[in-house]
Amino acid sequence: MTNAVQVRNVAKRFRVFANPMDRVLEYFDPFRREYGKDFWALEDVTFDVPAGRTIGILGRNGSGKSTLLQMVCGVLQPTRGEIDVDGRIAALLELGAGFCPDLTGRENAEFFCLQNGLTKAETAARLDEIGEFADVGEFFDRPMRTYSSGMFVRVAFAASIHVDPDILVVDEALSVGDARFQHKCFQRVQQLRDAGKTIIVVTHDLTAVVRHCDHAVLLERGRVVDSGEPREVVSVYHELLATGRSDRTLTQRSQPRQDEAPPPPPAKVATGTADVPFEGRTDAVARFAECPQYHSGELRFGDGRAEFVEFAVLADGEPLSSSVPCGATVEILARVYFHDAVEHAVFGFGFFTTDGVLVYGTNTAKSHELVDHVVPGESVVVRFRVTAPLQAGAYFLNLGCNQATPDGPVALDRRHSVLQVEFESAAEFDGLVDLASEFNTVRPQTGLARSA
Amino acid sequence: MIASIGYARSIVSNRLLVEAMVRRQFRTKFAATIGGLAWSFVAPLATMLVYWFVFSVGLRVQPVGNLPFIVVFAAAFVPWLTFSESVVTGSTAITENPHLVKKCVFPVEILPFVSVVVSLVTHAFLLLILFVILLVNGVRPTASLLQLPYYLLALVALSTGLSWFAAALNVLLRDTREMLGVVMNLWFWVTPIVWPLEMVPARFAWLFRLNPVLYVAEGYRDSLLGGDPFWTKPLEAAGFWCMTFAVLGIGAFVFRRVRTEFAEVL
Repeated sequence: MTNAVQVRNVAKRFRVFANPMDRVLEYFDPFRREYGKDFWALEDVTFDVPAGRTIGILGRNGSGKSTLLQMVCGVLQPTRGEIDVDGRIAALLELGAGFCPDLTGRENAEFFCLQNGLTKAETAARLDEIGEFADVGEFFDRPMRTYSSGMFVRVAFAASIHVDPDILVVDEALSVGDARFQHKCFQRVQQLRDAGKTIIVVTHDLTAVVRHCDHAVLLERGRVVDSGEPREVVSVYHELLATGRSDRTLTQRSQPRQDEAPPPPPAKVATGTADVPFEGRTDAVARFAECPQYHSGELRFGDGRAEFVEFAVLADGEPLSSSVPCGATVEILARVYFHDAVEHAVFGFGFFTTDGVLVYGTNTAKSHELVDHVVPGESVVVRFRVTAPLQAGAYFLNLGCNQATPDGPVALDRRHSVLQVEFESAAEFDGLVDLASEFNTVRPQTGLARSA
Repeated sequence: MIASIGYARSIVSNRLLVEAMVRRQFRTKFAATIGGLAWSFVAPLATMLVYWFVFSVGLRVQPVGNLPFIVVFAAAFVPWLTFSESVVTGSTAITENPHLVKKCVFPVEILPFVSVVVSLVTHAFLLLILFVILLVNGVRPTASLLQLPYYLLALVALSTGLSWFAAALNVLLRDTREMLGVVMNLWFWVTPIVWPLEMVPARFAWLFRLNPVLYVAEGYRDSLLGGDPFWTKPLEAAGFWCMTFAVLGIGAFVFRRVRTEFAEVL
């Protein structure tokens, strides 16, 4: 497969000057003396974007994402390394950039088309399509300064996806407009993908990355720290956000869970009743691997002052051995052992689909059940009970223990995708959750009502 | 020189974009004004009136040859105005469009040229007024008028070269635009527009002839007031075009050199 974009050992240096005159002096200094300081926005970045793929670039603010996109578009030149681009790029580095508020939506869209290399005839053909997609009615022929900000972005986005590029570069723009428009945008992006266009997006919408991207690249401080399957990269990014560490020494990331034999069933799993779970144990010995739902491909991080040592999954009060029967109440039990004293411990859990979409998540802070002042050596057993009418299939559970501080949560032990639970479903439906709908069809000709 | 040829090509291939950009500049410029386009020549017209009043009525400057002062002055003043306007607005062509530079895939080298073209639209109106002044003063157009496009081309070439230079420099140093105001003012007075070149002692006249704007200004006078055709002045023409190509080459070279910095500095 050919690459639409090849980024090879790219580094970008910005020169920082104390005052503007220094820049000019350095520029024209015959002896090439230096007047400023270096700032490296990117260092040794290498990745490929195969033609027809959708790539998501993740990273915290200031990690170099936008600089990278600007270089891919040719707006900035790399200091070192090479970027090869095969095909025509349409860039949406900032939504509505280059749109002039004094011109009408139509005129701006026309300008945008010409700017992106369309001929006059092609432009004329697309203008109505753009107006229709943006759906701003007669405002399309009014100056854009009279637009609401929502209308503005709609026209800008509509224009950018109608210029028919080979490569579409989008920086933080997919989350525009109301839900209906967003849905339309995603459909259009899907169409572009189906049409074999290459798409590079920078976004903070992680769900969108998992759903729409074939590949993800995580940048941190100008370096690629992870690259690969979106769900996994998103997990690493979560870790980065929670711990603020860019090195991956903390991550105990095992290989993807493909074809892994499940751990042998343990002799005893949560044999105690729900009232005395884990047989009243309070020791620090980790037994979580004994839980049949334990997923060894989990992603674990945290500062280690507390540890999840045991898990158990019950369905209708019985230890779960296979899949959760339809409509059963699921209980997740976890014992957390505290090595250190912790004020305000918060426990949380979340259900994720296999492609990383969060189905449901909550924590004890949200339900105002803070566990205050835990002493070293103490164990806390947490029980989440939930009735989950989910679509049949496998779900991953995240469990987490945080310390609530005024500056936000501090991760003590976060375990992403630590449990894998199969759900059964009796009802047939599309989507993730059974909303227990009812149909009622009426045939007025006969006056008979039938219920299905 | 190579840079300027490349940029000339880019202007040709992006002519649709240039056209759209010119329209856009006009809309932005006069969007909120009632007078609109009129403002772009009311100011020069007022200036012309002031000069005419001060020199013709106040200082009683004698008619030049058999032509009234206002005619000789206005014929050279109109190209000067356009030259000065295009270079001054051209100097901010990059700095005023940071979005196009930083956030879009855009051939920024056309921007200074767009400023020149925008000035040309004002120029057309100024020429109309100029014809009225000429007719009122009894000057009939002659065949010499046919060479006006040649001098117009000369004016555009010179302005474009300087605009590339000024626009690039203004990105690095925002003082460029302010300095240009001063430079243009001085330049105006060293160019024989309100005063005749004959005032200068003959042995210094060549010094003033080095000024490329003089070639254009005199060319306009020749075209409008029935002077000699341009091929009768090959020496001046050669001097002018050498200088103009040098300006174009240096302008494009500096622009291309600084261009990589645009997005970083803005």
